[in-house]
Amino acid sequence: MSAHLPILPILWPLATALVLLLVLRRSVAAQRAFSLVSLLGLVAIEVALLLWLSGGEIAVYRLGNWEAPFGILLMADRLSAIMLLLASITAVATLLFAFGDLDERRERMHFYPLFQFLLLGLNGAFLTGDIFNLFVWYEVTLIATYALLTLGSEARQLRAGLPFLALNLTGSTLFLAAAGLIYGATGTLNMAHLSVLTAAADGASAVVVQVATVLLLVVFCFKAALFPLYFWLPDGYPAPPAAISAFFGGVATKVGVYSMMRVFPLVFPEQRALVGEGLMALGAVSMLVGVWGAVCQTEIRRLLSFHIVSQIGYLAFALGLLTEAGVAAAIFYMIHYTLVKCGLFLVAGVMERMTGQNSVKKIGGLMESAPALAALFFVAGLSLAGLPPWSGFFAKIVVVVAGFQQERYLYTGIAVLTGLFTLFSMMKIWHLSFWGEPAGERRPVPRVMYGAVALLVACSVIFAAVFQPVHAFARQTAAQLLAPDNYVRAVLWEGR
Amino acid sequence: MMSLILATTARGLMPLLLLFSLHLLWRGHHEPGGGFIAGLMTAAALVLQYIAFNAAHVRKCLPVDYRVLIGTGLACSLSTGLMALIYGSAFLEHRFGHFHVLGIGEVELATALAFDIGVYLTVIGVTLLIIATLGDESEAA
Amino acid sequence: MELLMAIAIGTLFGAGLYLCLRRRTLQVVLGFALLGHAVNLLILNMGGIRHGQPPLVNPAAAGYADPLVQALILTAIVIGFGVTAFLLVLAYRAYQETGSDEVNSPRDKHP
Repeated sequence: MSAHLPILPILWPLATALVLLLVLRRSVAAQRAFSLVSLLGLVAIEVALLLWLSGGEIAVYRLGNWEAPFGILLMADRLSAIMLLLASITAVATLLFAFGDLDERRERMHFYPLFQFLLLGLNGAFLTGDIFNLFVWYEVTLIATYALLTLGSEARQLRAGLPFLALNLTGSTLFLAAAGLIYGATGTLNMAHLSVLTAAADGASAVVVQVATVLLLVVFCFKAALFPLYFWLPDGYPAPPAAISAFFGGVATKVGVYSMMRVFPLVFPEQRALVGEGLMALGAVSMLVGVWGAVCQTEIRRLLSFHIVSQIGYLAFALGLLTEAGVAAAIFYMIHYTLVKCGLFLVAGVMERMTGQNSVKKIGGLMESAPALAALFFVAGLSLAGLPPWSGFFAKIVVVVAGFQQERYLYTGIAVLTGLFTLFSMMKIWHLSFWGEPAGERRPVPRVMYGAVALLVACSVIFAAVFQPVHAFARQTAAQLLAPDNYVRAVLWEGR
Repeated sequence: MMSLILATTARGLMPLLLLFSLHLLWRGHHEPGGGFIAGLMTAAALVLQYIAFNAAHVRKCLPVDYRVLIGTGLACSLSTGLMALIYGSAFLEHRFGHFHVLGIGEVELATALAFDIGVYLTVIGVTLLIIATLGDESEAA
Repeated sequence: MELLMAIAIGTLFGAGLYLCLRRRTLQVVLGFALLGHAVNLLILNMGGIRHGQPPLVNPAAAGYADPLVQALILTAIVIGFGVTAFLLVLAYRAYQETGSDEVNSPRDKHP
């Protein structure tokens, strides 16, 4: 069975979605139970995959047994395994939260099957081994994202949906054009095969490859919401119910970052200097612009959405260093930040649910009426700001150290400064909403919503407690990513 | 506003379009054609009925929930892929064989055809769902 | 032939981009449809143009056109079809809900 393990994370959500759509479509209760059980099964599969691949093996799965580079193939390594598991854990928390948060009307509008389709697209993107299929999985993810974004068809969602869809479609069009150019220049779309061919390209082909690299950089910036292509995010993400926006905020933008990690070191080994400088500069500006945007906001989820932009800036900066320490820092940071960001979005969801307000100015005194929520926010908020002993502290430290090692003092300084502003913006929520005079209503909040937040916060605390082995693993992952030869060998030569 | 000419033409074209779409589906394995094109052709035939008559008429022609149709199509394609796992080969690995069918003669059957039938159903479902959502308020979701 | 295709692709890109930047949603939708066609033609060109040759290996024919680009374009068309349809539905629903077919209709009242 282990030979088929790499394809299971794709087949599992698809099969689940079909059962939900065909067999269980009458009963919401059955859909809930089945979604949760299936998701726990998926987590188990992915843990098995992680254990298998943690030794450094690169699993290659040939669909329909077509030989590489002619057929479609899946490629799983440590990074894929980490991303898969991270997405599923976040999905479990989101699903639990959705049980309490979503109204029955939305649940009946196929929320559960759509959520599985979203997972299907994400898992596909994390596993695919060729550029064109990365595009296809992007589209699967995006179509599910659009549907979830506008689920319930409130006026605000519909209005946010159009620009969101239009801008992402622009990104997809550019991606397709880049794939076409790459195929024209090299005659293949298989990532490992490209690794060999782009390095050998000369003359006109070399120029085309360079153009395609820049196009892909633009596309991934779009998907990851990096400056200056972030503006679709703060309008789009706060529009749907909290459970949905939490999953978007935690996981969906990470697909862009994952693609950068996967594609640039492997597919364009010769273009590293160009990509690295670009990513670092864009990352530094994103950090500042995002956090300044957040400081000005009062609507909680909009504020958190701006923080996504600044946090993606950290990831891009660390990744742009393109050293083992830098990429490891980016991976390490991504794990911390996915858990914490999704957790904060869920905290915001509980606050909105409890008070019926979505602005920090109209909420007050939650400390007394909801001490448990205050404690959860305290941990997650300080973690995002990077204060010890929470997970963000360790994540920021490794990024800063990696920056200093490469003597990038300006960018590293910006990273530290951004941490300060982040702290300020978290303090703002704390001061206005948790301290002060009680303001806003107090409505009962289902227990399961608290449980979902607690799950994510607990994960981030555990992450901080075992940061050393996790960081060591992130370093191994980075070393694997930066050595394209291993992938070439695994895909093109082994298993023939 | 029902046009007599359009209604008569649509009625006459319906069987022709359906037959041609099935022909495309069948020849898709070796020659240009396939599930996607065939599905679009069938959907186009039904959309023509929609233009010539009304939504209720299309519902009568195809009295199933389009979402179920999409799900069934996907399930059909997925299970074709999964069959290969049972035989111990890779997901989506195809098999084919030649069979003797009484009265027709030697026929080549491939699992790709079952996959294409799934695609065919999905495409019909998706297209009709879109048209219904755009055209008929009660379907909107 | 390559020159002609290049001009066609450029024209489609230009027209698509122009429409995408318009204010009304239907024009934007059509703009994306044109952009999609432009990219599809680009991919077709990238595989090399072979006149009158089938995309299948056929011993009777003199040669064959690159089948992979055709497969890529077919996939892109299918995806484009779905997304355009979704965009249309969304534009229509937004029009029903807000009574305006402008992309940037006035913001929500709440902050």
